[in-house]
Amino acid sequence: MSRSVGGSLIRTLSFSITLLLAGAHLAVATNFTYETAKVDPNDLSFYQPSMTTESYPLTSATKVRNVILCIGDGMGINTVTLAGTKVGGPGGKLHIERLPITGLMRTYSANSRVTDSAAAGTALACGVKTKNGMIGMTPEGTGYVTILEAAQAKGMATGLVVTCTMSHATPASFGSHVKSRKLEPAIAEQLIANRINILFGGGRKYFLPQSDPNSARKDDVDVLAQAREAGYTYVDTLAGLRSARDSHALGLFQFDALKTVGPEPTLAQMTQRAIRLLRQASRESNRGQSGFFLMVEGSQIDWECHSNKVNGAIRQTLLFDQAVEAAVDFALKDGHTLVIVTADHETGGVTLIGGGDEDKPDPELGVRWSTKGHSGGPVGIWALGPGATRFTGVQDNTEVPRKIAQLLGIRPFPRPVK
Amino acid sequence: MKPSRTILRVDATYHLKVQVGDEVRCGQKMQEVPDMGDSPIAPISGTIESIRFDPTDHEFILVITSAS
Repeated sequence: MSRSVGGSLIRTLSFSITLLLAGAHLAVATNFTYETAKVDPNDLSFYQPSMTTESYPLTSATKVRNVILCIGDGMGINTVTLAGTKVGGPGGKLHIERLPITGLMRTYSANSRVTDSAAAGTALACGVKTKNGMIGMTPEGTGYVTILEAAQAKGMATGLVVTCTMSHATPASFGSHVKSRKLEPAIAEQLIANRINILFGGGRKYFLPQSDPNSARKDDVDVLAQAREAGYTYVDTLAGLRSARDSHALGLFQFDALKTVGPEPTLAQMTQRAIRLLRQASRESNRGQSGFFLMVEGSQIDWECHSNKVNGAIRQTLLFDQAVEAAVDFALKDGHTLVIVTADHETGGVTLIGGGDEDKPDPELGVRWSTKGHSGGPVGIWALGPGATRFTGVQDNTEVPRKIAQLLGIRPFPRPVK
Repeated sequence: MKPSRTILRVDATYHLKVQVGDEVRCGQKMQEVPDMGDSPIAPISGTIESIRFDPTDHEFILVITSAS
């Protein structure tokens, strides 16, 4: 939320011009800062481009059993084009762009033409508009059932896979209901209480009691202990992820957001494991073959775009594209899986007009940023699998979960929490 | 004379109207906040020393330096 001059969080500090004190003060400021210093944004060797630019095939199947919703946070259409150009030249395509159905999605929130991830996530999860900053409820504070919760109520297995903290705005929008995105400790509790089968990402600090030196909580609630009591298998390494077998798995691979560099798992590795575990869980459910709903977020595209870092934005988009490829690989084999790829909003106002940039990308990429914030234009939406054609054309973000609900036979939707 | 530094944290959703090196006056609007009407303003006059993005709170951290 914006802070005016009278806001309590404005900290005014006066001190003498000693370098020592100045350095100490700046350290306070940078402690909160997203740093990519340990990652070489120019190293894209992890990424395997498509061997073709042809679209993936359309399917003749009509029955939707599983849904994988992939969200690139802050991923505008030009950001996708930029990444595709980086790896394949001007005609290059990401896996995202090879999905056979393409549309546009409007993103405005209940109180602004420029949405944040909380309001956008709520629209994509609940099918209703809310104010920026609010999670899983209307501006009046009425909680609305998320598409994940509705799928779970129908007997489907469910999962969230992200590279931010597990309780950050987008995953929170699918598994919690709070008035402010900043209530991450409460969100962490709700994610576990909701018994979402698979939770893979960062943010262990919100799951630890304040007695732990790495905790970001201000209470004694031990959410990790709650998770274990609720039957979750807890893992925090790539080896642990690979060995996870149970129907409920909590993987928190960093205290804060993921660093998106080894030895932690990549978004694609987490996605592949989540799909495997969800498929297994849906087969083992009481109703058998009940299917699953999985949301995968490339969380840090937004963060690089806020810093107007071209190569960082490309790298994060490619990491997300790898995860989309994993989802598509499964969907093509399965035949009854709908894959939807979109963004919650655009960040950075990326334009491709020629010229340089502050972190000196390839000159031919020619990127200009129009803002360090979000922009209010439409974002792309791509789909593959049964029901994919429903997502063509121009649509509002609230329509996406409504269409998913229709395809899964979930009624009524949207609906308030009882 | 002691310089003072003020840290201003603002929602990173919205467009910043200032950049590093800009001179700002106390009360000057720092952001474009469409449709909401409560743009954060500079608490002091001075120079924008740094702008950093904090992903945890999804905020920009602006450091304003002034000679006081």
